[in-house]
Amino acid sequence: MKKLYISIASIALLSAPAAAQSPNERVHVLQKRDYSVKNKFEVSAFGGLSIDDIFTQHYSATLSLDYHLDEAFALELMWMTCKVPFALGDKVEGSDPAEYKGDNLRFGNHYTDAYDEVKNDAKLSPSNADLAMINNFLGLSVQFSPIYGKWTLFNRTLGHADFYLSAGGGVASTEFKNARGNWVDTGVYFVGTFGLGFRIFLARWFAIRLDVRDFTFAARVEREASASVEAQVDTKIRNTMFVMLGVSFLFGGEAPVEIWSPY
Amino acid sequence: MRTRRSLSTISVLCFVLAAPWGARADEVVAQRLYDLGGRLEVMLTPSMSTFDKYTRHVAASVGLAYYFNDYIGLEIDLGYAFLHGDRKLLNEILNTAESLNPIERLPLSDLKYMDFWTSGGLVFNPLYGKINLSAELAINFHFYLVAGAGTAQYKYHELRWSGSGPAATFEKKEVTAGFKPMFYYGGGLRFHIVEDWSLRIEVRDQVYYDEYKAEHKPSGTTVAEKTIEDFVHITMVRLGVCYSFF
Amino acid sequence: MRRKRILALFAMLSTLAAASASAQAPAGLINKAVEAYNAGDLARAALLFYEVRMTDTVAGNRAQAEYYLGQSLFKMGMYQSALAYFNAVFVAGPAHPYYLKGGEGLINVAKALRDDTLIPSQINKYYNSQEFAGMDPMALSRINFYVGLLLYRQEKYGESLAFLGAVDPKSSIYAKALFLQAIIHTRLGVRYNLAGQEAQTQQEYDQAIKLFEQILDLSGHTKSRATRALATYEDIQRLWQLCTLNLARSYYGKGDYAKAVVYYARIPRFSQDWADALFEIGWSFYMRQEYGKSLGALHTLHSPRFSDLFHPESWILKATIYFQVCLYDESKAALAYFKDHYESQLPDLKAIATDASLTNEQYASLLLRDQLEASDPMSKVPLMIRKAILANPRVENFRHFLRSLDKEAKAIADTSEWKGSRLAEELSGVVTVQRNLLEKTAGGFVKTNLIQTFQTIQGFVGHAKMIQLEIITRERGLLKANLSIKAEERGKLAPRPHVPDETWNYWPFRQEYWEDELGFFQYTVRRACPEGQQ
Repeated sequence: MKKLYISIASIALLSAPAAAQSPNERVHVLQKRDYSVKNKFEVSAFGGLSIDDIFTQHYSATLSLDYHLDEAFALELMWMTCKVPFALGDKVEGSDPAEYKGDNLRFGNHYTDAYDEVKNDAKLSPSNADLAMINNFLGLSVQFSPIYGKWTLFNRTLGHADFYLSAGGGVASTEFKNARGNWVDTGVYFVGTFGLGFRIFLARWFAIRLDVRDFTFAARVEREASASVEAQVDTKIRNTMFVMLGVSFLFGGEAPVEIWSPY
Repeated sequence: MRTRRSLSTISVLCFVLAAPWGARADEVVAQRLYDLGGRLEVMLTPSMSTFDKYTRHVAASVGLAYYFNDYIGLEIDLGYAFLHGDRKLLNEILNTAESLNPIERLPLSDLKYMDFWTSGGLVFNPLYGKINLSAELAINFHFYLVAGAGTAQYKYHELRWSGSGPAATFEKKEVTAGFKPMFYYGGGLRFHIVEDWSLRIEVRDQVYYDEYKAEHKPSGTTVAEKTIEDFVHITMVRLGVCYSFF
Repeated sequence: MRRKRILALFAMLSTLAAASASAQAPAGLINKAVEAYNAGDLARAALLFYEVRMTDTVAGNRAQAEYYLGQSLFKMGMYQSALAYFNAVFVAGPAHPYYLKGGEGLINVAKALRDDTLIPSQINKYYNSQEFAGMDPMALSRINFYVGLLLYRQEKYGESLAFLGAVDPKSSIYAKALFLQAIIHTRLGVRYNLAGQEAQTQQEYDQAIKLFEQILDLSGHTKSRATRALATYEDIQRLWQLCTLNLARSYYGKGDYAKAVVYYARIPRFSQDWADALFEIGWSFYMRQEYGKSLGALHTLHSPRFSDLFHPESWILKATIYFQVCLYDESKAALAYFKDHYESQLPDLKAIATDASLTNEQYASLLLRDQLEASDPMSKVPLMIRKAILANPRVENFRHFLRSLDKEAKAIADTSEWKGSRLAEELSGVVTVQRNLLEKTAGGFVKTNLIQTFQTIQGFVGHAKMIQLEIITRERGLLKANLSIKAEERGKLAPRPHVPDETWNYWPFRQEYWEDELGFFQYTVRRACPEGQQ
């Protein structure tokens, strides 16, 4: 933490020459935020995909509800889904533990080409824990926006953005597809989330959000016995990172001062 | 492959986010503090690979760039990966394999890693902005995109088997695939620290088209040749320290 | 001189219109003319009405033809030509059966040509309150407004208020009439203030404030009522903004600087009046001794956004503020800027403004031409000053009038039915005479503005010299008191402005100007005065 402060202080010192003015005066900009979020509710819808897993590929749909305690802090309730909740598909007769068919229900859960290569061409077997996939996630997180910014595209258009960090936790149901191509429940886990992102305001009530969020859980998946290997349990800390792009609608909060004639 | 698609998708998203919302006639920023036009820049860039399936790199490169105006520049980059090899994940799945013997060239894509490279391309800076980190600390930045081509020396590991049956073991032997043409694309943020010094944080995907004669076991113990044709991606996160002249 | 020209023009129009009939008109010609008029064949109708007017022996027919000739031309968009015949009807007086309608026609032409000078003068000359009582109240209101405006320009404030007060509240011109009344009260306030009559000053400003607020109240302060007001009153949106600005000025005049600041701050950023509001709010902050905010307002005014703005006084104000806080080097720098950018232009400006060899037509090219050639004497007028003159709202009226005349001249030449006719010849003459007059009037306007600009800068040169002298005296005082001449060795730099809460954004200014930050600058300055000196 001390190092962080030293780094920030160093940057501040380095920045000083660029700001050099008369020693007898300083110029400041103090403006009311165009896009205040204090006390606002924000409903967001995202489409997302996982970016760092070798063998699994998630496509997700996410809904979130944020309450902005002030300009810097918000509480967020998030539901992310890669599979139709509660529906399991057709149970495979005689399977124990239960196995299910139904790829359509698992609209966002896929295995990558790399997995096919490893399994079919090289006849290699990744750990089952590496194959576990998130079905549905429900969680709560705290969002912290210490940074605000603005930008211009080709010096012709002006945009405002808030950058944020988020951390929280929740529960996620998981599954994996076994060698027979059937889906097997791998349990419900506590999942820790950490992420960062930004929202670009297009109006006081509307924003575009880009969110990168890591979902971490300790996957524990049974491996069936084979001719040469006994049944065992694969355990692994899984980090699945999602990039999510969405739109936000903001309600409530401070009523903007509408400047309309006669002023 | 899907991970690569994901990265491409992100690049597209960046373009979408950078799209103008209604052009305006007047300049948004007058008397810009940091204008790259007419500047010559040297860069020292440590980097490491991320998102790669089976390989890892820790590298450093030196570069030179010239900006014709604030938006467009040319750059060259010369790099060496002083740490390169396979990821733990590959070793893990090889070690738990049941019937790999006697395959020497693994039938997997994205096995190649690189050590030297040289490349050149365009830098495009469409977006200029500033962020406020704390009360008194504002930092200006450029968002930029890069694309170009070059050549790189690629290597990979083959397996050398000893023993037979379940007791067979293998050793990895590094094989040079030679210098191959490659192209790259990416994007990042340039933070202006002081007038002449800036930091570039960038994600860059370096790609080459590989035709690789591997081996596999179509059935039982028979080993057959299999040609793998694919793009090899090495995606680096780069942190460049830049100094501008003039 | 100008008035003589105006009278000459109307005399010519009257002569044309009153040309006597020299031949018998064929019987029923008036009916054919009316039929063509009703059928919408206006060119033919005009030609026939002209024939009737010139040749018919029946006075009633001639009178009718005279008015409808004007009406036909008006409907054809030939406003200047129509003016000739409406004027003939109007100056004929109540004996003319179309007298009042002729007056209304004049008003319609004035509106179409955006003429608030020539036609109002004519109406004022022949104003007949008894006869006008029978006129359409809306048309009469407009006449009263125009006459009020004319009298206001002649500084006959009492008479002007009487005419403006007679404007019907249902008239679309009502808001403008109220506004002009308020402006007159403001002017009177300034006049009484200069005379040191405090009670009358306050009374006039209060009256002005009441009227400005009355105009703002026409909006009902709700969107629905404001929308209705927009549909009812001419230029009401512009008036609302001007009322806001003038409320600020009135409160400033009364010495209530806090309220003045509130109203100045309501002027929308980047609007037409924003530069004036920034400058004037700078003065208001100065009067409240909020020097940081005052310098902040001037910082926006001196930003690249307003690089071509003519505002010599803003540099004098800046120098004055620095002088007040004993930052003498900064004050001298502001004066140096004033000298380099304004005082240095005086010789050239004087040469152009007082060049006896230049005709009014040559002066007119400054505002009537979009591009000035290098050989044009007006190209020597500094760009900043040219832009300041062009920013005057009357310039657009001149340009509109000129475009309208050029369009009309072309339309007369292009009307095939009129080829070779006496009507076409007469109308071309009318337009040409008016164009020449317009150029002379515009030239006079430019010349007057150049002289005023010269005098304005010269006046501020005097202020600048006074500040320079005061600085020398103060610096001598510092040396005598053994105090450092360097401001940084005296006094403390004030802390950065307080950020009210997290709904405000703070940015340090680092020499680059972001569009959204304009208008939100604040300075913190070192209070470098020795103790006991302020």
